[in-house]
Amino acid sequence: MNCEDALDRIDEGGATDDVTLRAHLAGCAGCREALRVLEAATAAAQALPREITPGEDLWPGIAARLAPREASNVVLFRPRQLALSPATLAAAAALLVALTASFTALLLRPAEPVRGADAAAPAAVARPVSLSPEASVVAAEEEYVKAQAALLDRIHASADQLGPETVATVEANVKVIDAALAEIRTALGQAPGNPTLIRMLTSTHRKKLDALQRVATSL
Amino acid sequence: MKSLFRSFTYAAAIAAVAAVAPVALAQQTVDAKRPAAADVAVDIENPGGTIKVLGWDREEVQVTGRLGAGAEGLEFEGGPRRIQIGVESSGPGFGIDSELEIHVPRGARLTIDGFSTAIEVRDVHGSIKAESVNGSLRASGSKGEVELETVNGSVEFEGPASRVKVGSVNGRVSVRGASGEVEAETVNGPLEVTGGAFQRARLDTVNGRLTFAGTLVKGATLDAESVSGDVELRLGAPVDADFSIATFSGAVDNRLSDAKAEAVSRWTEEKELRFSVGGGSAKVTIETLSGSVTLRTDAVK
Repeated sequence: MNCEDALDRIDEGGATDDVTLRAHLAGCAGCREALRVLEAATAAAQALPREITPGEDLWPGIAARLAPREASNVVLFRPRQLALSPATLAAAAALLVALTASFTALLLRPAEPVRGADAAAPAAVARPVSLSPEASVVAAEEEYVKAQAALLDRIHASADQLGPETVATVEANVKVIDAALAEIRTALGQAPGNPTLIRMLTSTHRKKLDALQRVATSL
Repeated sequence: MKSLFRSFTYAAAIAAVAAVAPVALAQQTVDAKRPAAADVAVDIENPGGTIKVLGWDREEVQVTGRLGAGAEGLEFEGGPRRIQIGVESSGPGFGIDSELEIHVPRGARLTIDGFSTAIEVRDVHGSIKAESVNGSLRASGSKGEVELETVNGSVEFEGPASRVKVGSVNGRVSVRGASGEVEAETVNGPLEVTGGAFQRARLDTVNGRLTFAGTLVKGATLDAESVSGDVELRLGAPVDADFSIATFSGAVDNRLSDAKAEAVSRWTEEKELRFSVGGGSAKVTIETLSGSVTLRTDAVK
């Protein structure tokens, strides 16, 4: 079993009862570290509240809109090979946790923004999380930006190996994605808490991470 | 292991392929082969240049081509069940452009890694997993699982594969003739999937145009997401699905029923469209920010 196969098994949840994987882990510090970070991320995510029930007037509509795709849009950030440092893996784990927390907080957001004096204020809503939804999004995005910046730094530091064309391509596509993110943020400014936009923001960040990761892990 | 290398066949006038003790030469041509099972697993690595893999009816793997300046040799080892092929170098191999043409049994299962490498696979019926960073990927013929991913370059697959995963950051992505499950993603390039009957389709783009033409089987799911690229679905008749379309500011053109998209907010251009055609056994979900959505029948055969 090589490192890539081992990481695939780890991703699939195979660990303690997999003899081949155990044998590989015994001799590979990098994969042990990857497993440790992933287990820590999983534990942290599991420690988050499993269910927070907001005001009854909001929850049914929000739940109905979110239920079909909520789980499938949070994708684990996994290295293709062990070229990523444990620090980067840790950043990815932190990202996962932050996004989970952010998403939970956003579920509590009213569906409509309050605009102007004639807008009806939403009924009192339970807010058991301390961060506002906007702050949660900002916090989650900060984690994304940190992870992305680490990968981009690695790419720039290896520009000689990668070649100017590859680096230019990466930068051009980062701009494309950043422009899309800006569009989504603008839309979110108009419709705070919109679940479609939140999913789109998350998946677009994930695409950016994937793209950077693919280049960085090829080094 | 070394005895396996005795089976290498070297062309008379061309230079060596060294697996155990690579020979450092400025340029080397290679011509070597070894026996292989009909469903041999072949792992191929070439950091730059081209990799062309062709399926044939012999139970052997043959490598021909040219190693680029800076290459220290070609790894070509393994047994009949698994064979490794790789360009060897003292460093990571960036900047070494080699051209490899590899014949494999049609039932071979391929894992191919490149960096600045254009990869082409033809007439291989087994599974194909190929990755590059700066290079296009083309594959055809596989009936099994196919996974093709690059950062800069087009990705094209044509064949009856039952599970396809393709993606490019900066380039066109095209899948033709597949069925079953497809997962396709682009950032900055058009995405086109045309095929037969699908059980699951997941299609994502940031600003490329997204086109899907196919039939959805009973219980199928199709999820499409685009930020600013337009989305077009051409579904084979009879259509039997529930549709859920949401767009923040894009237009919706529904030619499958009389249902119209409706505004869902007093404050924005957000629109939603939910309707069913037939019994509604399949589920279609489309979300865009500013991309338009077109739904119609008449899928490409």
